[in-house]
Amino acid sequence: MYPEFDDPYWSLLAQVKRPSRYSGSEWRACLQPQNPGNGNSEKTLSKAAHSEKRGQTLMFCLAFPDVYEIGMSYYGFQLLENLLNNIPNVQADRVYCPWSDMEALLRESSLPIVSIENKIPLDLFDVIGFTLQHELSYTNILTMLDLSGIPIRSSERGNKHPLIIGGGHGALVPGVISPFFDILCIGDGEEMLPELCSCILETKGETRDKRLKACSDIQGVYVPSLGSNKVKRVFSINMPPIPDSLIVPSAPIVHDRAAVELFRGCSRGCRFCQAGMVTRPVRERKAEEVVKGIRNLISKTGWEEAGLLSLASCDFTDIEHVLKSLSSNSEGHSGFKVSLPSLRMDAFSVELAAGMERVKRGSLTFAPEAGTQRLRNVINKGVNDEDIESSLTYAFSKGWDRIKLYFMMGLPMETEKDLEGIVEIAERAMRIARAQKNKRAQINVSVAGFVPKAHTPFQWEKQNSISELREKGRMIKGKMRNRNVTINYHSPEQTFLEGVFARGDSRLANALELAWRDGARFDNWTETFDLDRWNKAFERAQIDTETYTGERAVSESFSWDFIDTGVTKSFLLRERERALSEKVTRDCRSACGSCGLQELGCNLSSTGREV
Amino acid sequence: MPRYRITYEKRDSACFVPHIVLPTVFARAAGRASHSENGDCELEPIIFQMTEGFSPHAKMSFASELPVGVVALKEPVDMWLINILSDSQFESWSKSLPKGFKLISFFEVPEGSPSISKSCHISEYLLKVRSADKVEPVKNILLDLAENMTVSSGNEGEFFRFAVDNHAVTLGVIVKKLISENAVEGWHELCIVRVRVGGVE
Repeated sequence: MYPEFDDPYWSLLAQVKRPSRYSGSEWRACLQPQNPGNGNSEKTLSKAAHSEKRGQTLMFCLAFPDVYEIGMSYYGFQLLENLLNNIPNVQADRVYCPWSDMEALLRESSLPIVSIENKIPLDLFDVIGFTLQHELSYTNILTMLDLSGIPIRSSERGNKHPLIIGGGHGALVPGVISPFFDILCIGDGEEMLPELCSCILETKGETRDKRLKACSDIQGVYVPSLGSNKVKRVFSINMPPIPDSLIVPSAPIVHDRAAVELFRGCSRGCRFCQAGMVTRPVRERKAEEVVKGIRNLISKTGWEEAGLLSLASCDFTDIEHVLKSLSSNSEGHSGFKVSLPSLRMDAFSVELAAGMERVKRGSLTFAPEAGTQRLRNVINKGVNDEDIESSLTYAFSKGWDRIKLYFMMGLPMETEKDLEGIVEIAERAMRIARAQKNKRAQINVSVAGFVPKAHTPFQWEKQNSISELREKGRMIKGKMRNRNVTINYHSPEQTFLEGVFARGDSRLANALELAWRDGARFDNWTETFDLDRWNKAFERAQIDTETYTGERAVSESFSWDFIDTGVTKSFLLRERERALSEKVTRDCRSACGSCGLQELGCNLSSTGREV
Repeated sequence: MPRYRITYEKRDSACFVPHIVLPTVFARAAGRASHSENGDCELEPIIFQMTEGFSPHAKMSFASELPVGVVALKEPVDMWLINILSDSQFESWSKSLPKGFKLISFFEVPEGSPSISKSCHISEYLLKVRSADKVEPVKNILLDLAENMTVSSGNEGEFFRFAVDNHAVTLGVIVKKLISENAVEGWHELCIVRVRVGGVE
């Protein structure tokens, strides 16, 4: 009568925090059942179809190594699930990492984790594709494999096991995770997956080694077990089409909105920023396509908010046009809100935000990153004092009360003055607020420890130690006297671990496995992170972490050197020199810095050479 | 502008959708409803009246909170719309809901009627205890708390059928009592269905 209660997962769901993380009551266009509300028959149908068609269908599970509310906010999976399900013979599901409470219950009851859409155990898929977004989620990958009965190391897996694929920024520094993966995709998934899927489908039934060999011939594919030959990052010079529909969650998630990418890449050239280096060149959509895409998605998904995604949305050539076109939709009852993350810190951007925000003035977030002009020049953050002054003045005069400011500490060439500069900027913001007669003004300063990342001009730099970062964080906090300014700094312990992995190599895999076996989970969550566990693991694996976080010689060859992102090492070295002499490099939109992409079809390279 | 009393079903995976996001779930589905998947003629949009205040949202009111993990067969909710709701809009709205949700019925509430929590204050439940040896202790506690206790037998084993006044005692309080008296360890040992929510005219 009530088949729900026969589901073996039901009593588990009734015991965990936030069961909607797993239950999968989502709305999606393509899987809408013909009989409304008849969820059960849909499930059985697709399960039957699954067993019947398994021979000719490629079952692909997109796996996000963090909880649902984080992973469901990730636009990449919306894009890839759409793309994969539109390939004939491919069925794509998603799965997220179970939180510790669910993990314990699954182990206790010997149940595997299953995909969100069709509740299929992971080991029944042909491919599990992990996205590697953050170094501190690596242990979760092992949890997800282990809970599915899949050996965590590639070398221990046999022909019957799914192929374990990784992609995303983490794949560009593959050392640490390479022993756990069969295949790593170096480049944009939508470019690589169609060919990879057909190769995997064609080689079904062959031995694992043969299949991997076949896949390794595809451009951008790196098969760790076959050695590290040069791999070129694959990207398209055109943006992929905007999906026709998106999956809408029925649970609170972090970024709960219909997202559309404005452009990929970034022309700013901030020297600390890995994303800005490895997603080049800048590839913009046409304004009309963006407007049409958003209107379509809002009407199809029912989302009340649209997000314009990119690394620096205010840099989009037609941003004013797009916002103006969309603002006609933002009024009235059926209107929707448009949000613009990654707001640039200048008057133009605040003006854009002011024109957009409907009814409610929430908080505005800016990232000056460093406290003084000198240090901002070192990191090539194109924000000057005037920008800071004018954007804050404008924001307070337009009625925003809460301003969030993001900074970094431990940057190369940093002095005490630069840290004091952070406090000064926060105090200046309060002065501006007072001058604008804004009595409710609140400044929230967040300071992150700088992590030198591979493939950036700072990949040779020394990372501050845990105690240095803690001291700096305390110093900044101690100097702040204003009650309306709150200062938080990221956990130096987590920054340390991120730094070890950010420039890691395959020797770290043992430590990763040891820490995980010892219980390391969700290391990016402060409530679950435990440094002692990691120190023990490093000791047992005989790893001197200093080797990874310390300064690197320019002559050193890195474990990630065989990955060619398109940006040349000579450009990175040139940028490093300019950083050390406090020289700014101009935005690619005004002058080409010859990073290497000018040879690969970058549209901005005709702007003239940097002198 | 009309106020509609709509009843809906919450089954399968939808049972774990928390009460707090239901307004969003219904509002988004209403937004999708005017868009036809099959390319048929577009329906008039279903537009909600918005609440006043700092962050306006679609105006709707639920009779009584349903804890997660409880199957519901006929939950009432009042929705304040701008326009008349047609049968075809209603049907499309139902189809636009996430898996496990289904709209069952709707009627326009006459002006001046009492609030939904006043008029729909009695909840009727079916409750089954998963392990047989815990049935008796659960039954004894339920007899103390609930009115109209009956035991209904079906093919699926034994369900207790009982009704409570939402204002007097909620399901949450009942289950808490079962746990504190050591009748069961937690919600996972119970299978609970809310059959209907209504009032005595």
